[in-house]
Amino acid sequence: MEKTILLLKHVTGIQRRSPLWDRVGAANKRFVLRDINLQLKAGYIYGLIGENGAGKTTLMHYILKDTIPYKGHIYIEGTDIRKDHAQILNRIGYVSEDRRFFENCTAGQNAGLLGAFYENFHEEIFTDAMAAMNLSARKVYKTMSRGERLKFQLAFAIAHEPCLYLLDEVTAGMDPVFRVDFFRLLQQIIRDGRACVLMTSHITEEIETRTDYVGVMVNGSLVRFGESLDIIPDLRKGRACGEDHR
Amino acid sequence: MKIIDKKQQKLLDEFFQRERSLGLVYYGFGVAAGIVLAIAALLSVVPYQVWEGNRMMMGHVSLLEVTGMEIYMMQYRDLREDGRNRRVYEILCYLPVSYGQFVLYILRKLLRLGLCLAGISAACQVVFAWAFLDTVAAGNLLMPFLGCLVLPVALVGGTLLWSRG
Repeated sequence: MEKTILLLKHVTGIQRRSPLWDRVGAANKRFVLRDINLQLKAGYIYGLIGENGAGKTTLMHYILKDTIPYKGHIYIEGTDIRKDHAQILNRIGYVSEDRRFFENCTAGQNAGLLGAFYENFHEEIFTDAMAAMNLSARKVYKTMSRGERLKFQLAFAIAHEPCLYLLDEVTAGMDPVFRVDFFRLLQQIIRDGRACVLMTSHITEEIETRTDYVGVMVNGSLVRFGESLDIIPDLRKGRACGEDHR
Repeated sequence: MKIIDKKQQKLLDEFFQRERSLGLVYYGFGVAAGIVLAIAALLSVVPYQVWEGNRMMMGHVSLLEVTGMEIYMMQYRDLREDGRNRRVYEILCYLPVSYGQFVLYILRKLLRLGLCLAGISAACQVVFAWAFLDTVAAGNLLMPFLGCLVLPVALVGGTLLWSRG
């Protein structure tokens, strides 16, 4: 039986409101998720699509940050992430353009400095992953291109052996040659059935051909979820993620 | 739930040691904090009875202590890269270390520094007041602890908690 890696049960964001906040007006209200139910199993690549501001990155932030208030429950490998959020982050590999590292340090120094926080960080796995992606560990982070930074982040994530990979818009702007290698790498990650990948993307062709399941987000809600090969053609036909699917 | 997670505190300690050994900690923060705190310490060893006619002076000493502590805290809170200040926690936020433990780590550093400064100031005030003014008051012990420890740690620690983001 496939192991459930991530389980979201009725996850709904909470607006922290005060009389003063109300005076400021609706424009300042925080964007929140609405009743998200999602189950991700090991051994699969999952995609999340939606327009800008639909809540794809926000969903990842609900999992990654302990500062966002919400109702409902998020479980990783059966453990509620509220119990010990810092400990849970050992099990998550996050790759995103927005993620920060030490700009003036090399990839190796960054890995050495920050990898120490993880329980299972393996320098040799990091070195192997960097070599597999043709990236030198001696390259200074600020001199890396966007693609190289994402490759480094992926190697960094692989090195601490997470069970859940969260990839936020990583393939946008990625060169076609590496794109093929990148998805081959993801297949290797999930092959042994111990991890799953959740990735967001705007490229529907990529989601259709490279992911097993896809979720469609609209205005903070997950309006559809199913096999990529079923959903993406529907979206193309125009039976998209509108109100009729709620 | 544990308030102080020893494992995370140890990891943070090792992280800051490594950060320092790689030269990532901006020396300017340490130098500036040292200068400001040295001036504040020099003024705070003078028995408060001397300043009693000038209450503003006691306020200035406290302000210097707060400023010195704030700059001292920036060594841990901020990172200077290519002329720009960034928050260290921006880098740590997706790692297995909580903001609470990060704040506690810095607060412990501030407390240690504040206790040290307050202890030295209080001892000096008592000795100087006894030697030069022939009188020792409870204020010679209380004022340094208030000005060097309670006020700066509360204000600087408060801003750190407030800026959680």
